Amino acid sequence: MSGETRKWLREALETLPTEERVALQLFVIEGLSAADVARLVGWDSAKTVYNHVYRSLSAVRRFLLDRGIGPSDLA
Amino acid sequence: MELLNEHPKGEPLPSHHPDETERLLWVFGELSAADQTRVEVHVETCASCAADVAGLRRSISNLETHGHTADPVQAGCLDEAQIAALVDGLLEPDDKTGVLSHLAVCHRCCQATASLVRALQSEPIAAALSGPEHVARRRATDKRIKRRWMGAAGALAAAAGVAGLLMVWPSEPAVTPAPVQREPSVGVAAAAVLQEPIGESAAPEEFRWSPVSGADRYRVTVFDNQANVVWETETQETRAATPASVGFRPGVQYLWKVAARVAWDRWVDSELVRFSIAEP
Repeated sequence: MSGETRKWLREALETLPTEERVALQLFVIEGLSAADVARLVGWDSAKTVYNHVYRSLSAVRRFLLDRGIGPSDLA
Repeated sequence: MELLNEHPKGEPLPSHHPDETERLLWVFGELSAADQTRVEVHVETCASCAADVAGLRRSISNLETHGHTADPVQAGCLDEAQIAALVDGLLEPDDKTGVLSHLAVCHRCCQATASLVRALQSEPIAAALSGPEHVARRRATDKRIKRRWMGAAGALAAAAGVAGLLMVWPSEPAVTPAPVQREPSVGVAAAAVLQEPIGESAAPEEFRWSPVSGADRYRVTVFDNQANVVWETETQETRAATPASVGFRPGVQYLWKVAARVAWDRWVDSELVRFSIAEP
């Protein structure tokens, strides 16, 4: 992953609301369960975590595609 | 779940599209066995769902690769008491907002939080904390000092000793995977550097990578260009022989990575590297 792409990925994450970014970190990167993430962030259920994580991942993908960073540019 | 448009009469009805949650859970492998199979079969035959799943996998892979970037200790980093209070649900709303704001930008503190959550769920510690003396202590603590955040930190220290507490919160700098392009920082565990196969080559008989300081185990994962796992294995060596059952196809681009286990339940991912098999 190039430095430029890594920078865009970091910026993509920065566009996310705080709680969604924390949920993304804890669920996707740290691998905590959705139930644990919901409790930590203050959401009412695991289902809420799934919804937010899905939307966040889609938002990150859209942000990068809008900047011309396509699938071939990312690992 | 969504229903497809009406299908021509006489033809078999198509399967229902999995909804967003199902697709996400499928990617993480968290559906029931029957649902995993159902969604897998649907994704194999539905271009739009396959594209969405591939996009999810790419985003997840990018985050997993990027998300292990080492964050140095900052002035605003959380201490053990704050993390324990968050995990215990003892923070006042204003304090919680500040803690979450920091977690959003600090992978080091996210790691520490996750470590504590996992530690509290581990069998011996969970058993120790459910003892009557700890239950009574926590009740008294909750009533007396919401803002002093004893909770899990105090109970955990009592149950596991100071050494156990140190195990939970990393006192070492956060682990970062070293990208192929630069040298790893001093004192920070590097990721494996993938050596073979890279680029176009003959069908690999084995996969090789550099050793990672402190790693006792490696997990090799090979993906096809649809982000499907083609092969995965674990080994204590820095090479893995390709089993005969894995049939790499010429002209198809594959990706692979190696995760190095550098501590209990702590894996450092390498960069994803592409390779393809030369046409005969």
